[in-house]
Amino acid sequence: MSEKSFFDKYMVPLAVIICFFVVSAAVVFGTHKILEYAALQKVVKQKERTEKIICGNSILLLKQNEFFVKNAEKAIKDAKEKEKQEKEKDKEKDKEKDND
Amino acid sequence: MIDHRSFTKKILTENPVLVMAAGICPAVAVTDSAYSGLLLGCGTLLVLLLSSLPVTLMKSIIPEKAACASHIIIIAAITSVIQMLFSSWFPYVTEEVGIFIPLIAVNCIVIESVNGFARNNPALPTLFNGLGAGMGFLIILLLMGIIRESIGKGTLFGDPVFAEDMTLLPFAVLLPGGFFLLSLLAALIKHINRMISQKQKNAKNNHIEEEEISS
Repeated sequence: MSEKSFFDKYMVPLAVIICFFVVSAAVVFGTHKILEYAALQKVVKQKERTEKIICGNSILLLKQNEFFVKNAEKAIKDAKEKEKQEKEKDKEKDKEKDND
Repeated sequence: MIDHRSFTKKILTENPVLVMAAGICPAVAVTDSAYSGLLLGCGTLLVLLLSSLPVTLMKSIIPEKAACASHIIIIAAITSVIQMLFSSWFPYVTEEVGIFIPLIAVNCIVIESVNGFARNNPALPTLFNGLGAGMGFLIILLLMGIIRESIGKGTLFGDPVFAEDMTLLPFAVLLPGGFFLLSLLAALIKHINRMISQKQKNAKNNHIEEEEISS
């Protein structure tokens, strides 16, 4: 009976070890990818939340600005009217003085 | 029928750290805080359970010559997965524990449990054995972490224990303090084991005497 060659002797154990190695590497790589994806999703969600907050703040600022502009216009209008009234009053006083 | 004795045996009479003196290095180096001890204990328990199961289920497929290498590959892969999960879930504690998480792969408890027990036993006893060994390791690590942190730093899981900011024995956080505590716990468990065996012996003797009297 002929002796088994080195290859015949160790072929099956070697194949099993290589199989385990490949499967283990795939498991580790898969876990790494899943965790990477989860981290990315977390970042994207945080970004969306931050964007939403920024949008909300911008809208609030715009509204504030609008309110201030309106108030300023009203104040200018009031001031002009007051000036007009004062001028009219001055004119009336001048007229009264002239009449006297 | 499931044998529960292997589970309790691994926690008390055959505790991996205190009785078999396996995994002493991480037990002393990491337990300066309760969080670190808990994390490393949980990591070891998970690696033990997750690597014992495929080994015991595939023991008929794996040839004798490839057994050791295959087991080490399985343990290493599972340790890598656990390390990645821990560093993504608890980044600060994992950083604190450092190299001891990847070193779970070469922990004597894991190697003995997987290469020695799981290879020669069916699935359920293997699971119980792994659970017992892991729980035994986890309990000791957590206990040491709690004692060392509360005595040495005056905190427990990061929160202060005492009303005033004080520490009872800062020596407890250092490595010699860890060894000292480990030896105290080992002496305590030896005493408990001796008491249990004495009780069992007494019960046995009483039983024999009762039988002799009745006969």
